[in-house]
Amino acid sequence: MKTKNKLIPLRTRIPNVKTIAIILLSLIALITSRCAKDRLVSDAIVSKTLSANSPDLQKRLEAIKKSYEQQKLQQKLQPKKIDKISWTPDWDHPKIQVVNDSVSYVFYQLLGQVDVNGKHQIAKQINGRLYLMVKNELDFYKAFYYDPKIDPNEKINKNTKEFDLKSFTGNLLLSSLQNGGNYLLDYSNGRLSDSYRKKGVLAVKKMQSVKGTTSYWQQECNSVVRNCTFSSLSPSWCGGSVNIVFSPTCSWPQSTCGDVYSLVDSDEAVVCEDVWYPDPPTDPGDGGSGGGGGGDGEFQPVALARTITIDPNTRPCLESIKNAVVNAAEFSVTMASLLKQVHNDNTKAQNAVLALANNTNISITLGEKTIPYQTVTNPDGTTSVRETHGETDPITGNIKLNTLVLNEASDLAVAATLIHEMMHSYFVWGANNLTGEEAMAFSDLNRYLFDQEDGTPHPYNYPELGAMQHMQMAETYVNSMANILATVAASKGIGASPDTSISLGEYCRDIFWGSLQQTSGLDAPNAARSKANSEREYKNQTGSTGKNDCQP
Amino acid sequence: MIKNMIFSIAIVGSAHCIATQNTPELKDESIIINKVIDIVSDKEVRPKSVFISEQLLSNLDRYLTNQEGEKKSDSLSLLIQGKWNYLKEVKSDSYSMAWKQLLLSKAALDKNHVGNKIKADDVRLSTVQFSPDGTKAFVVYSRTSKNITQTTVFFFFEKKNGIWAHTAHYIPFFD
Repeated sequence: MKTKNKLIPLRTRIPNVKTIAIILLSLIALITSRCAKDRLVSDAIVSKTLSANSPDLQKRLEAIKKSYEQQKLQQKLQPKKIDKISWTPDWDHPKIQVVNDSVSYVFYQLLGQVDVNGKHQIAKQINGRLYLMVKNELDFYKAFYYDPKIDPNEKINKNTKEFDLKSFTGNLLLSSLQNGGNYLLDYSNGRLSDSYRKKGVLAVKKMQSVKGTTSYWQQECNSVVRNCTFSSLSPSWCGGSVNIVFSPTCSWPQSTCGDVYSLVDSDEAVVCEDVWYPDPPTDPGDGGSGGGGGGDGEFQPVALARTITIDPNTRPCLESIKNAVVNAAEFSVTMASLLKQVHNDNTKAQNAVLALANNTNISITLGEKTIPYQTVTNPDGTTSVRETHGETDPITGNIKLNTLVLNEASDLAVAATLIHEMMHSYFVWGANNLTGEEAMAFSDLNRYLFDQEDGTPHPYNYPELGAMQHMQMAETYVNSMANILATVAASKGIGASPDTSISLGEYCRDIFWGSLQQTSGLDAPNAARSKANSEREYKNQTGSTGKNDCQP
Repeated sequence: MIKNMIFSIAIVGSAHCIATQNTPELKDESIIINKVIDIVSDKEVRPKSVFISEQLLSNLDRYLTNQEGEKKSDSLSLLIQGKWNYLKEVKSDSYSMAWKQLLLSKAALDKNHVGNKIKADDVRLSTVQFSPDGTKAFVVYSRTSKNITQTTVFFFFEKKNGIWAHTAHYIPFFD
C-alpha cells in the first residue's frame, strides 16, 4: 500500500533543505574560519619572530635590554678574580639572525672594559671573543667563540690581531645566564660542522627511542671545558691596546714585548658534548644588523688613508684626527655595507670600496675655511643661529671644516664632523669619478638612497639631494657612524662616555644626532640629551672629551 | 566713522601695494620664482606663497669665498666666471633681514595632484639678482624645516626672446 505520508510535500521538505543548507553553510564557515585562523596564526608567527626588518625592532631590542637589567644578568658576566675588568654588552650594535624562520638570535658583543688609572679602555680580545646571545628574546647566554686548537706557545707580538670571526672555525660555548646549562657547538668555515649536524640527527633519533624523554642532554653531560682569561691590564707595549687573552689550555700568555699578564678569570663548564642545541645559530656576523649598516664580519676592512690629502693651508694637527678616522676599519666596512644594500652583492660592494680606496687619481682635499656663524631672522620674526661645522663640494668631494669649529670643538667633535663630511664626499666622488661597475655601485647607491619614482638616479644637482643625504644618514647609518667614532675615540685613549648614564657608543651617536636632528628634520631618539651632549663636545664645555690635537 | 576710515586706509594701502608690484623688475621676479617653485615642487604640491629675503644671498658669499684663489672648471664656477660674472659684485656686509611674501600663481599641476604639501614658510628665496642688462637672473633657493636650512640651491635664468628660461641649477655645498 502506498501511503501518502511517504510522499513528503514540498512545503514540509523545505525545513530539511534549510537544515542541509544551514549545515553546509556552517561547514563552509567552519572551513573558512579555520583557514583564516591558520593564516592569522601564520602571520602571527612571521611577525612574532624578531628580525632586522621587524617594524617594532627598536622597541623589542629595548625590552631585551630591560629584561637583562631586571634579571641582573650583568653580575653573572663579571670576572671572579679581579674587579678591574667588566664585560658590557654593546647595546648599540645588535646583530640579528633568524634560524629556521621561527627562532631569533640577537648577538651583542661583550666589550671588555679595563680600568686603567681610573679611565675605562676597551680591550682587544685575543684567541676568542665574547658575546651576549639572546634566543627568542627570552633566553640569555654568554656566547664564547674560540679556537680550541690555538697554539698555547704562540707569543703575543705587534702583529697579534683581535680574534676574527670571519669564516669562523672553532667552538662556540653557550652558557645560560639563567639556568646554568652549557652547550658546545662546533663550526667550520662559518657554518655548523658536518660532525655537529650529524649529532642533531642522532639526537632526534635517540629522543624518539627513549620514551618520555624530552630533554636528552640531561643524560650525557660529562665533559668539562676549561677556559682562562688573562689581561695585560694596561696598554700593551705591543701596539698600545689593553689585551684580553683567552686560553682553553689555561697557558699563561707570553709576549715578545715584555708585557706581564694577570689571570683575571677562569671557568670550568660541564658540557653536554653530544647534545644537539635546537636551532643553532650561525656566527654573529651572519643575518644582518639591527643597527643599520653593520655586519662587520662580511667585509674586509680597506685602508682609506690615501683617499684624503690635507690642504697645506690647514693646521697640521688635523692630520692626526684625519688619520684616526681613515684608519678606523669600520669606515670602509660601513661603506661596503651601505653599497651592499643596493644589490645584496658582497663582492660588488667590496670591489667598489676597493676601487675607491686604491684609485690612483683620488684627490679629495681636506682643508679649512671660516664659515661665519650666521644669525638669521625668520619670517615669523624669531631668529636662529646657523652654525656650519663643515662643507663638502658636491662635484669634487673636497671637504672644508669650519675654522671656528676647529678652534673651539673637542677632537671628538672634529672627528664626527669629518666622518659626516667624508660620507657626503665618498658618495659623490665614487659616482663622479669611478668607472664601470664600481661607479654604478655608487650611482645606484644614490638612486637607491634617494628613491626616485621612475627608477632613474637623481641628478647630482637634484634640489633636495643635500637634505636627502642627511635624512638617509639619520634613518640608515647614524649608528654605524657612531661606531666609527667610538673606534676613533678608543684610538685616542677615550674609553668611556663623559655622560655616565650612557655608553660611549650612545654618546657618539648623540654627537651626530645633535646636527642631524636639525639638518635631516627627523627627531633624534633622545633629542634633549643628544643636543646637550653634542653641544658639550662642539663647545668643548666642562666634562667634554677635550682638545688634545688641535688647540686654537 | 572710525571703522570707515580704517577701511579706507586699508583699501588705499592695498592699492599702493598692487601699484608697487607692477614695476617690470618685480614682475620678472615673480615669473622667475614661480619657475623655481615649478622645479622644486615637481612631485609635491606647490605652496600658495613663498618668503623672500635678501639675507639668503649670504650663501652666495659663502660660495664665492671658496672660489678665491682657486681655479675651478666645474659648471657652476664657469657660469659665475662667465655670463653671471656680475654676481661677484653682489657681496654685501649687511643684507636686509626683512621678509616679503609673494603669492604664487596657481599651477595646473595642483589639480588632482597627489603629493606632500610644501609649507609656505619652509620655502625661502633670496631677492632675484638681475644682470645690469636685464637678461640674466640668479636666485638662491633654500628649503627649511623648523627654521633650520636643510638644502641650498643656486638657480640661473636667462631671458631669450623676451621669455625667462631656466638655464641651470646647482647645489653649491653639502653642509
